[in-house]
Amino acid sequence: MFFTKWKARPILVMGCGWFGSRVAGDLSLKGYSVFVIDKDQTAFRKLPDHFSGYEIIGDATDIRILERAEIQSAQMVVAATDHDSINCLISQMASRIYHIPKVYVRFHDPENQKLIYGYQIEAIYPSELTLQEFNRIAFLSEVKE
Amino acid sequence: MKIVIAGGRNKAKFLIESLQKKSHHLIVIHPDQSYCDNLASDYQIPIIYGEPTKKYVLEDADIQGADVLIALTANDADNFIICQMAQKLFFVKKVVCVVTNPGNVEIFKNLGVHTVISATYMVAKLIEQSSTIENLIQSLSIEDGKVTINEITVTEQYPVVNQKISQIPFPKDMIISCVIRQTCLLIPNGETILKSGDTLIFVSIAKIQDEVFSIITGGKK
Repeated sequence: MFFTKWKARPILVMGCGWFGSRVAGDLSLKGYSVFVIDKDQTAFRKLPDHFSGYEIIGDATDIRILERAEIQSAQMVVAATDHDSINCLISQMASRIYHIPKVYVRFHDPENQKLIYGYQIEAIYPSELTLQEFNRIAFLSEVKE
Repeated sequence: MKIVIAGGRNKAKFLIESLQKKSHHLIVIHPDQSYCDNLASDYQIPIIYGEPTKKYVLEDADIQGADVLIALTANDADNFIICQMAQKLFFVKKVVCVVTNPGNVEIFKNLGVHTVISATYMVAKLIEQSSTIENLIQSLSIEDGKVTINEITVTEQYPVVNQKISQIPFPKDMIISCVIRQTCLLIPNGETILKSGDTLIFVSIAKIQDEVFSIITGGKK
């Protein structure tokens, strides 16, 4: 009973790039109600065929757009637009104004970590992850030799 | 005072000129190189070329401990991140930014930006206020529209003519701060009698503004 209710609370994915579209597709497949927001309509083509959530065209920093995507009752927000400043703003709006329990943000610049320090926001740094992966595969090939 | 101006074109130039007259210590950061050259040839102040949303640019600009930072870029989210970096990483005492989306004024304030200015918001508020009440009335909002300063000229038909102020049933949260009679300025008290042709300047909270006007003009609310 509780489980179905929890699943019905929406998840908002901001930015429908390669990462955003995949996250939205996976969550949708798991049965969550997903809203994807992007200012460019053509971005939605990246969504996988099995995606069954909602697509909203608009500026993800605009509160009217967020409220149309039912941010008040959301259980999770993923800020994955191309711009760090937009992601920073959205994640703080979600966490500090709407008190969304789970907020995830992607930052290209690791320096931005300090801006969300102390808030209930978890950050993903693609540059760090790429570096880790590079070290792993480079190190593996070294061992092979 | 040490003041940092980030981004902005005409607004930045105008601000530089007016702040320079007051002999403040200015630092300007702008992401467009040719505009930086242009500014550098006009003003003898530090001009830093670079994207003000980047921490290393702000480091280069040496904004540590500045008194005020003003973010004037055209992008609201950029302005937000500039203000937040200035506050959290460089301990700037006061941050001010402009926004294009009026809805962001409240949000940015909630998120800790001290002063948020939206030209659209201010103009829309002014238009709204001046169109809901009669033409001869001028009003000015302060404190984000919570308090208004209003001007109204009393004419012969108004019920308040030749009445003592203490006898007029004004609501509580307002005060007539001065009466302009011909060329004289009177500071009224309860005994002052209003005459036709007087111009009243009164301060009230925005909610009761219309009520006060209808008492003065005798019009229906």
